[in-house]
Amino acid sequence: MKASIYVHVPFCASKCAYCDFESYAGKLAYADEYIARVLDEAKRAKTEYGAFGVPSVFIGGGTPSLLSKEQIGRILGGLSDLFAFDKEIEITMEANPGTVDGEKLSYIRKAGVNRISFGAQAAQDVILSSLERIHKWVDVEEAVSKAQDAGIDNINVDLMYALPGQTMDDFVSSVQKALDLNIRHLSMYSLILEEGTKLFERAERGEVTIPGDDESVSMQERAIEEIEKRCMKRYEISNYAYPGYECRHNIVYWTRKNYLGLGSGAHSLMNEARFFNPCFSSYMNGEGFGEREMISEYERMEETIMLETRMTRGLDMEAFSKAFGNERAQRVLKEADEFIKAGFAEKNGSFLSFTREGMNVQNALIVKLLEKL
Amino acid sequence: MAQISQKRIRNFCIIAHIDHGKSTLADRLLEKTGVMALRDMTDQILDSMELERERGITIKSKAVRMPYKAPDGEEYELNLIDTPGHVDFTYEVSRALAACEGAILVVDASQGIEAQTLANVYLALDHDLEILPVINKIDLPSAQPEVVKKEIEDEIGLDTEGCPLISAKAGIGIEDVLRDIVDRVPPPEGDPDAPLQALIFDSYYDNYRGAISSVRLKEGTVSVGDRIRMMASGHEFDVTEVGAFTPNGYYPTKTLKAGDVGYIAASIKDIADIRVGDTITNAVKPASEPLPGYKPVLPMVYCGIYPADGSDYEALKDALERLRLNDASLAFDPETSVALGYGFRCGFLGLLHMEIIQERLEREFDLDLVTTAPSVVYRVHKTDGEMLSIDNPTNLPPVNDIDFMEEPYVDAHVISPADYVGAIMDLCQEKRGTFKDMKYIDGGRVALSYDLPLNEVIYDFFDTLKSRTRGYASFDYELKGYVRSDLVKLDMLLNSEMCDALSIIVHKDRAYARGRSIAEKLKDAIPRQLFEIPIQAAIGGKIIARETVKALRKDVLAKCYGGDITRKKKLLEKQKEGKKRMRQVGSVEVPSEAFMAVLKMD
Repeated sequence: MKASIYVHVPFCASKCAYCDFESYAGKLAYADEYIARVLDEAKRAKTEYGAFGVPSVFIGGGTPSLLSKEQIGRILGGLSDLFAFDKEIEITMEANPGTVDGEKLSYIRKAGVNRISFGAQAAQDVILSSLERIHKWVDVEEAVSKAQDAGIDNINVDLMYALPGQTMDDFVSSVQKALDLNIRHLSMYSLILEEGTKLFERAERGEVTIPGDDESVSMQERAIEEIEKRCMKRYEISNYAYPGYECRHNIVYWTRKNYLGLGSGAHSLMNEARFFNPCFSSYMNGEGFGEREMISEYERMEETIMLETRMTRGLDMEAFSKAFGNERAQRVLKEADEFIKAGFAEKNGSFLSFTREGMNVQNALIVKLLEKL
Repeated sequence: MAQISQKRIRNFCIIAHIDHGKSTLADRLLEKTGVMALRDMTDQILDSMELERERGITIKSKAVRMPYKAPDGEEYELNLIDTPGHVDFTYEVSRALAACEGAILVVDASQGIEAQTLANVYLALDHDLEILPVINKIDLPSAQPEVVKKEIEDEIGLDTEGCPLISAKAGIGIEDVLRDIVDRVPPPEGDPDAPLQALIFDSYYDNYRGAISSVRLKEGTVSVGDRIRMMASGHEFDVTEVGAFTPNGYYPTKTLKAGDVGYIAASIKDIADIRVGDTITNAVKPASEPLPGYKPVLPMVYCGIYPADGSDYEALKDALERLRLNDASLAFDPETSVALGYGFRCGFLGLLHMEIIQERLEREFDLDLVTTAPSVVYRVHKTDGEMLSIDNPTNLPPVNDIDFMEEPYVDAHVISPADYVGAIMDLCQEKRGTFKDMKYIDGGRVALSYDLPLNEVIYDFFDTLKSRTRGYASFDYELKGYVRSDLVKLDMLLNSEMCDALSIIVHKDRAYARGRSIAEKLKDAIPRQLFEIPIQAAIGGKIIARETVKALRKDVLAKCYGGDITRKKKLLEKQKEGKKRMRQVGSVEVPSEAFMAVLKMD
């Protein structure tokens, strides 16, 4: 059996204004103990699933790059001792620009990290500081170039749009500046205001205004033009890459392959069971590990539609028909005919994919598909 | 409570304009007679319906027995029948009055006689009741008891010499009211040995006792075990329990005698067997004649009520039947709408009545409703000479078949501080009103009379009046008659398909403005969908207004973070759930709320 591994690192230097993820500032002192817990958890997984093959590892957060180089090395060393890493394994680490230097980067390259994802968000320092990011744009430029010097060429940059105070020009310029860094992969996420975040409260009080849906879509469209000029391709709703540099780990999520989530708040899908870990304090006490939820056939079908249509590749109708029956596949295709007529979808061989217009309204489309099933 | 001889029974009600303190006085009487200990009292005991307390109004009439030891040392039995104050509930008032010999007329010491005061006084006089005026709220700085006394003498012709000056709120003068009741309300007449004649003035459903009748015994006696007959239906039942109501609930007794007010339970399962206004008699020794009933009232306002979730149709039907049990003025018939499916056309006495019924359905029966725009009853004279009464715009015959139409008009009375006369006149003008009269009353107040089309009144007249007069104006109306009018049917088209549930009948001159306003509201109420949706208002084939709901451009979750798809699944569930509250009109999904949005004022 095979399974990708996600490791969650919940430590941050400070909490960003928009963030509602499992992350904490000021808890880095627990890192050694935490890593020990993660490796214990990995050992338990080995007992249950055996020493499975691992096509990809993703160390996300939080801010994994806050860990010391030894700590990162300990995680990867521990995992590779327990499981059978593929020869061509993709190992990604998320990093905050400004938390890495040449030495750390060389070290983790040797420890196996061959892909880095930088949370850059925007190229304007005033926007970065309003999001309460701890870095400036110049840190992004420096960090990317140091990573490249350290021999890590598979680099992603995360950008955000529809941010408070962000203009179209700001965003287009962010995209251009990011692409100028000779990166292989770009992710663009539109801001989601999550309840409980500082930014949400500011918006509630009317202190900031967030660009609306129409503006948000226009920003994305303009950015896509820039990206396509450089021959980078969209392969998922929020993700763009040069051919061959698509993130294999993320594709595991969207194709419903096995993945084991380690660490606080991490989610897993293993042999059609979904489960997730408790938040930091419970995790450290060894409590609150979630029940395994077996996924019914219908839910599996829902998930398949919901996840595969996120990719430009689209929904594999041949596989769908095999898994969920020809009758259902026909119903999907019948409804999809309406989408195709309206310009929301296309059919390429066995794949049903959403067009750019379709991807913008993916939720509405899949709800319509699911109504027929 | 021992049986008390007939001559020591006093059956009375309290009548008043809304907000003049009727319910508070009822509370004080209960307290003074010791029926309710002070500590048990929440404000406005008789208004036990949640809705009544919230709105500070009485909707249903209720009867409560109070034993009272008068200063002369004699024991009396006082039966208080509480009545609603609002114009919509005149029918209920009339039912309650038929059970009484006397009425306490409560008049606010600063506001004086209001339209509803008069209406209720006339009703009471129709029933030959002894009327006892009482001036309330004398502790307020603005109280002018002498002015109000004179007003009562001049306008109603009642003697106010020695009438109690009270403050129900502060508990002042309550003894005087009790003294007046004992001294001036005549004891009931009627022969306990005559054949039974009990007038049903209200009914309830109790889960243990079945359907229960509130009765006033005019003649005869009824006891547990008697076989009784409903004189209208002829159905017979065995009496399982008789007694009186107290604020604490049922108080069973052995018998009820002529003159008593109380209840009769007889294991009646079918609520339809008890008809308010019917007479109960003894099946073995029946009365030859039923008592005069109530004249049936005709609903003035109609609207469609549909379950938001189609599968609740039976529950809605059941709830309406339950409500009709003690609200004979509620009318309903099944109807279907292309847009809304199966529901009911419901008839109401007025707007407040409609609102109250809707709220009761939602609160007491936990139903989610979709309501269509209220309509009045139009008279349609067809070219072939036939006359149709139309309460649903959908049933209007084709324009070519219509010779002319008539719409109901009301006599409207507005009383307001003089400062707002201009604003009120403007409003009545806008609402196609015809000015009739203006009178200065006192204290800088003005009474205005207008003829107004009822269909304007039921739209947003009351809310607009309140907002333009900062809540100071009071408003009353009664049906005056039908007037020939230039009316048209206004249809709404969603993506070129007509939506029957949104059609209304309006005056030609108002159609353009209404059409535009409804289109604007629908634009806000209908969420953006995958395609652009034109919203059009049309008269016949002619489009008079258009709005557009732009196509949805963004509906997607940016990220499935770290393989956590729960958030996305939840969103999907929410969207699927939201779809259930959508009605399909052609290709357009219309949220239930959109049908209501149309009713809201500008």
